[in-house]
Amino acid sequence: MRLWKGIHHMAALGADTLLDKLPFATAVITPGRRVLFLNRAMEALTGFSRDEALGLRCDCVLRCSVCLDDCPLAAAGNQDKPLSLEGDVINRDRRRLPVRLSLSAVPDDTGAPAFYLETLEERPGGIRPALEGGPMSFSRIIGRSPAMERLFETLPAVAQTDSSLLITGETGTGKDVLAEAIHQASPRSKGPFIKVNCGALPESLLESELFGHRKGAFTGAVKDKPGRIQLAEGGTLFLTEVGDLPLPLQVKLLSFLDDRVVYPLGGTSGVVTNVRLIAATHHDLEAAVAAGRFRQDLMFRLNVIRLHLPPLRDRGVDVRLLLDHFLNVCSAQLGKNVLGLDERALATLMGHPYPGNVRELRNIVEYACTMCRGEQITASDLPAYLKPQAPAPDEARAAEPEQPQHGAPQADYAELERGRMLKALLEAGGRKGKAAQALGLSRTTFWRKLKSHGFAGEKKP
Amino acid sequence: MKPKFLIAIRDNDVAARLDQCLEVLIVQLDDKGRPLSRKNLVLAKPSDKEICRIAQAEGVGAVICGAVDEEISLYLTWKSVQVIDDVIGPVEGVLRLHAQGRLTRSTIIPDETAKRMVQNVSNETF
Repeated sequence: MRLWKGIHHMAALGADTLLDKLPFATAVITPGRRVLFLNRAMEALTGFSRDEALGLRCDCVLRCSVCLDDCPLAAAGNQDKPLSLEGDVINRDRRRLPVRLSLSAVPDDTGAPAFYLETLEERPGGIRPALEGGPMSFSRIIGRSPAMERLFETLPAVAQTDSSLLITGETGTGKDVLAEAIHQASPRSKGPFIKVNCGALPESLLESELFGHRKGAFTGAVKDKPGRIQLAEGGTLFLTEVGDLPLPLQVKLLSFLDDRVVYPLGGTSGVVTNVRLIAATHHDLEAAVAAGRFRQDLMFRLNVIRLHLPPLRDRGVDVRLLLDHFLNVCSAQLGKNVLGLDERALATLMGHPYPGNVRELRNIVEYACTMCRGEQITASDLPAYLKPQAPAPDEARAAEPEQPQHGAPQADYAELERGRMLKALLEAGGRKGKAAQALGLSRTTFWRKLKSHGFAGEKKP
Repeated sequence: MKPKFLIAIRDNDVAARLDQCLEVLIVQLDDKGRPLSRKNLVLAKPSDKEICRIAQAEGVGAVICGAVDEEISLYLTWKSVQVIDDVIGPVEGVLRLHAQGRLTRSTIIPDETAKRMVQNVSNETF
């Protein structure tokens, strides 16, 4: 009977459309621990389609370590606050992905859970290097440059406060990683860490997403829905790309920061919340204020504590440290035995300005590891745009934080990789195993890359 | 006589993950696909590496499980143990399919609850 209520409830909400618009992996679970629905992001993360997963036990589909250790559904049903746990999932590609699991019960008219909403947020994982007497680290952020050491010294104190925090830095410097690391080191670490990308959703949807809505607020709002601010109760709300927040929402966010009361869309009464706000942007907010694109009073509210992540070109010795670190990580992830870089490759990478910062460096190393057939990465394994014969990147462009220039090179080497994979497939007569072997990749990695380039069909390796 | 095979189990179903499984079932079939022997082994703690060791010690030819880490899958393959992973369903149903030579990777055998839910949802307009 309750299962039927849950299905009816879902259908009435038009939940499939709504959930598909969410940028994070979400599953709807019945009180009987069966999967009722997966949104597109969850399908992508787990590898299961919603039709395949329908009716199956949720632990068999999500395959999250915390579900199998001690099912969190019972705990979520007994409390009003959403539950947040960390673990990992193993998806259908046999990949182990570190995730943060958030779980909340959605009650029916009687107050009993009609169903549960479970979200999985992928946490960038990696092998932490042995740092004996070497570089300093905070969570998964490593560095030994003076700029990073100064930052590391302030982080423990920043984590212990409840003040609003603004993280600035160019694209790819690790703002999201830093925000999550601060949450993990804070007294709120047992609460949820809710991330909202202010640049990823249209204004109308973003308002409902952040502040929630009351029943009847707009067409299709058939029930009250809490916003992401309420979902972050007791934890941390992370607004990434806050510089892209539309002006009308800036006013509403300012009002929330003043009195910590959330007014859902279409509602007259507010909800008092206990949330720490961390915001991040790659924009120069002062310039945005001067240009009238960002409210000065909001900037002051967010700017109680400010942390700046330096670009990689200002981190000197960290480039070599990060090269070695990501080489270890990627080599292990790809199941290869890449031990280092030859002199020419190292010189090229040490001389590159990295407009895409740490993200670009990591992508370059992953690409080189993929292409490397021996134990050492050579210059020919590097992406085409880095090779000595290629024209040097325009350093003037690299100096502009607001205009990241790593899109074109990324496209270049994605194209090159695609070409190499296609050539290997043709040479192997379409046999994926043989093509993977020729490229020095495991079959699963080869399959994953095939899918990412749009070659793969439905059949699994 | 066919080679033995190992199923990672939890209660009466295939375990959702090999690395969190506490019990395995080792079965040997005769040439006609009938069980010659079957034994359950309980692990002291969940460990996919321990299951790999058991599989090798028992001379198992195939491991049937839910999710498996790529590293473990590659290791077992290297040791000439077939990996039939991503399997969901009751142990007896999986056994039957494997005995018939019809069990493949990503096989899903829905139980009655799952079938009923599919039926209910198909009657509802989303």
